[in-house]
Amino acid sequence: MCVFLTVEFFLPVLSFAQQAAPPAKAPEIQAQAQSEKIVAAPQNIKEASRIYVFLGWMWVSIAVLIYFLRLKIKEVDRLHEIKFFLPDKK
Amino acid sequence: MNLRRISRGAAAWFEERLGLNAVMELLKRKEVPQNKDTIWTYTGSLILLFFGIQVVTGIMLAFYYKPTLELANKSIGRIMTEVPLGWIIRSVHFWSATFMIAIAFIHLLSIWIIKSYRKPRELTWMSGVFLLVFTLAFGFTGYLLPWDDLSLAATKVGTDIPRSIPLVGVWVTKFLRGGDDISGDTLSRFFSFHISILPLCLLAVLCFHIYLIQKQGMSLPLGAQERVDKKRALPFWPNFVFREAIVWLIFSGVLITMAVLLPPSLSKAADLMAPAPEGIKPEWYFLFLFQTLKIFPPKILFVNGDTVAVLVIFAGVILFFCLPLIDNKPEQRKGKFITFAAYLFILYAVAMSVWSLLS
Repeated sequence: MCVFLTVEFFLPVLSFAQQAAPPAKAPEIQAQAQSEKIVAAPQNIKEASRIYVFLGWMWVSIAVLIYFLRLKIKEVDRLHEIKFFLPDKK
Repeated sequence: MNLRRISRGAAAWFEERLGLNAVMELLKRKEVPQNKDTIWTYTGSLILLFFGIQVVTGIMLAFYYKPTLELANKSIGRIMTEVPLGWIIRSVHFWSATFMIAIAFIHLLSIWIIKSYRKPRELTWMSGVFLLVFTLAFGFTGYLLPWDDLSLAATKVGTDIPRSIPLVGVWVTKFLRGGDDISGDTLSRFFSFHISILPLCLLAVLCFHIYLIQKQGMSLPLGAQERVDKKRALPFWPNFVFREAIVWLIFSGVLITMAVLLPPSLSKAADLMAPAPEGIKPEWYFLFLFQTLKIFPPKILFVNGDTVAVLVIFAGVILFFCLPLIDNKPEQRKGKFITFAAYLFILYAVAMSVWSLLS
């Protein structure tokens, strides 16, 4: 389950990385951009919505992973306690 | 073919050649004491997490970044506007640096307050101070790389400060700048520091730091050594590692969220001929030092005020480095005063930073 969730966590990132680069801007636009402040932001509404969906999905995955990790922590802590209280094995 | 048999065979093949079972046995035997100070043990591995993120995102940025006067700013503009998700990679790199430096300060201050540098961990502390200095140097050198007005002005101010050091000051400034003034040589020099010299130095000291921690084990709070409760020590693997995984997940999530929602912008390319912008300030982690330098008067007893300020700060760093040697009896009155000094330092740094921001 953890492997599945971790892989699923990276799949949207891979699909974003495969997005084709937008065509090079006209020289006038490039020159203007270089003379002004460049504000980092998604390039279009489609990219913006994908990124926000990814953020939501990321936090859901983190919550699920944390839930399973907490279960595992309870299990291993319990194992540790039981081993401590057991008499030494021959 | 039985997959389990193949994987066991592969594991046995590697074990015969690498002998990694010994490392796994060490990790299984390693214990982490459970007490009120255990929460601070998570800060060390968090710094490692953010350093790893810096390396990965830094390599990705280096694919497109060009460290020349004409192309530095343009290449970052290209990363932000043309490279798919380049703006996120740059933003993650920016925020990861901020988190790494903040947690490095928290880590160091927590060690100071709970006195984990007590014998035999003095060298761990000293190597940790070096790691903090390297981390700040990463921040300082990386700040120039976008080559915009703000970074140029901040670097001019920052590289001018060592000039006040007697005898070697001018040489240090020339070494940092690659000449008398900031130029293209400064940019390529800072880039070399940022991507090769500093990572190599940091990795070497980090290996030494981690080796010492594994060799000496985790420290106990002051006064706990005689009444150590072995029941309350957790095995590092898997109990503590699973807990660390939760902390890593949360901080990674916060990092990516901040990177997406608050990405850094890029100003226009720096002009070497232009005067520095009004009210120039360094990054937040240098603000308290910057303000400290500003409060010194121009002359103190016929000596240049800047020189006195730099020497005072340098003396403070030396004291900081030698803290375990000075605080050799932490349970006595001197030790209590040094703990109080830690809280005073926090108050001072916060107050000076806020003052610098508001002025």
